[in-house]
Amino acid sequence: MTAVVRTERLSKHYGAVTALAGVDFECRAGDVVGVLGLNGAGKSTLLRILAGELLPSSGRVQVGGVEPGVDSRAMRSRVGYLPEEPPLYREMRVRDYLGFVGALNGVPRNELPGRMALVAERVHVGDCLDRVIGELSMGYRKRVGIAQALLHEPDVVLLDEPVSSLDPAEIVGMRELVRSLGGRRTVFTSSHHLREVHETCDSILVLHEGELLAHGSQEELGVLAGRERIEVEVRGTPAEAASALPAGANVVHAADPGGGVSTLTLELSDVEREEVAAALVRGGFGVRRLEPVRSDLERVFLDLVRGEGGARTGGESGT
Amino acid sequence: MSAVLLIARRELRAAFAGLYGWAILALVLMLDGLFFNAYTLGSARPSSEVLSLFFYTNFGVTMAAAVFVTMRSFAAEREQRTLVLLLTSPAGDWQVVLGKYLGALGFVLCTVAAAAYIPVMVWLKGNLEWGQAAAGYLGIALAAAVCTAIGIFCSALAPNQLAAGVAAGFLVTLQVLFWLLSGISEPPLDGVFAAMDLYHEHFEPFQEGAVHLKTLVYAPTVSFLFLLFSVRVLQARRWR
Repeated sequence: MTAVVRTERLSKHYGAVTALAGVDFECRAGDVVGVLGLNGAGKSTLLRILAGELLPSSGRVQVGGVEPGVDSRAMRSRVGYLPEEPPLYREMRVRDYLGFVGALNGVPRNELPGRMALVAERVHVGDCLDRVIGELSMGYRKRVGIAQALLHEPDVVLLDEPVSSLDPAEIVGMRELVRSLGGRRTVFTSSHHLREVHETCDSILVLHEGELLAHGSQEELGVLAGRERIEVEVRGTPAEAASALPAGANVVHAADPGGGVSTLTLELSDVEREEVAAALVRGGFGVRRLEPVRSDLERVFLDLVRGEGGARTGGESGT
Repeated sequence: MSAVLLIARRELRAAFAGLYGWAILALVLMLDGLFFNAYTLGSARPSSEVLSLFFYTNFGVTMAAAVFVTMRSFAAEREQRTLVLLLTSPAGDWQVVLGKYLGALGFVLCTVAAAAYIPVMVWLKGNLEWGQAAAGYLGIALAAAVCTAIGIFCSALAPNQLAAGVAAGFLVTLQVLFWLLSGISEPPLDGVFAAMDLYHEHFEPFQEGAVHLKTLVYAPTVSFLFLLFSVRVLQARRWR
C-alpha cells in the first residue's frame, strides 16, 4: 500500500541541540501511529515538521507525496494538527472559531455548516458550539482542537499529547476518539504515556534523543527489543517441560492448571519458536498450543531505550 | 474569502472583542480631546490653523495607537500559542503578515475615524476647508500605514509583547527624529536622513493641505519593506 507519510534521514537541529537525527520511516493510509518517547525525545519536533510548522535541517519528508520544500502550502492542506496546547482564540465562540479555521483551510463556504455539524458530532462538541472557548474545560478545548484539525478532511491528523491535562474520564473519551479516527486517515499521536499508545495505536515509532529506535507493531517491537515472548501449553509438568527447552528459551511464568497439562510463558532470545516446538516434541511433550504473547509495552520501551543502538527500525508497518 | 481578508477580519474583531481595543480607543479619544482643548479651544484661530493643529496632535496619537495595537499582533499569538494555527494552515507567510497588517491598520484607522468629531466641530462652527481635511486624513492614513508596518515587524521579531512595544516605539520615534539627525549630519547623509523623516518631510505638508507625490511613494515603500522583513522573520522561524 502507498505510504502516506515518508521521511528519509530527517534531521532537525536547534542551534547546537539535535532534536531529530536521521529519522527514516513510512506509514500507510489509515494507520494510527503512536510516537513514543521520553520528554525531549523529539516527538513534538517530528510532528511540527510533519505539520509544516518547521522545516527540516536536512533530509526529506513527504506527506501525501508532497514535500514542504517543493510546495509547503499543499503539504499543509493535507494535514490537520493539534499541538499539545490547543491553538484556540479564547475570545471566540466555538462556531465562529471553527468557521474561521475551516475557511482558512479552504473549506467552501456552502459546505462549512455541514462539515462543522459533522465534526462537532464526531468529537462531541455539538452542545458547546455557541459557547465562548475561554469558558470551556480543558477536555472540551482539546476536542475543539481536534475538531479544527479534522474540519478540512485532511489525509493525515497529528495529535501532540492529546491526553495531557485531561481527567481520567476525559482520557477514556479521547482514547476512543483517537482510535475512531484511524481507518480513513492516518493519525499520529505522540505520548510518553505507554498505556495511551498501547490502547490506541496500530504501530509505534520509538524516539529517543532524536533517534528513531524502532518502528513497528507492539509485537514487532518486542522482537526488536530482543526478547519475544510466547506461551506454550504442553502435556506434562512444568518442571519436566522446562527441562526439554532449548537454550535461549527462558521460563518467566509457569502454571499447572491440572489434568496433566502445563502452561509456560517463555522469553526467547536467539531462538525461534519452531525450535522450541521441535525441542518439546523431541522431549516427548505433546504441544497443544503455542502462540506469541502480546508484549508489555513498558518492558519493550525500556529495553529499547536502555539498549539504545541495539535495535533499529524494524516492522515497517506501513510498507 | 481570501486568507488575507479572513485573518484581517478576525484581527479586527478580536481587537473589539476584548478590553484592550476599547481601552486604546478611549485613550486616543481622550488624548485627541485634551490636545484639542489645550491648543485650540478658547483661542481665536483661523479654522485652517485649528485643523492643522488637530492633525499635528492626531499624527502623534495615531503613531502611539499603532504601536499599542501592533505590539500584540504576532507576539500575543506566540505567547498564547495560537500562531501555530496560522503557520500550519495553507495560507502563505505573506498572507498571514498581510492579514495581520490590514487588521491592525483597520483598527488604527477606526481610532482615527472616532476622532473625526473634531473636524466636524470645525465644520459646524468654523470654515472647514475640505481639501485640507482630505489631505490631512490622507497624510494620517499614510503615517498609520508606515507605523503599523513597523509595529508588525517588531511584533513578529520580538519574543514578547513588551519587547515588541519597546522596539516599535523606538523605531517609530526614530522615524520622527531623522529630522534632528539630518540637522547635525554632513552631506550626503543629511539629505538621506531628511528624506526618511516621517513628520517634517512627509506629513507636515499634508496637515497644511498639500499632497506630495514623494510621500505617496515613500509610505507604501517603507510599509512594504517592513512587511517583507516580517515575512522573512516568519520564514526564518521555520528554519530555526
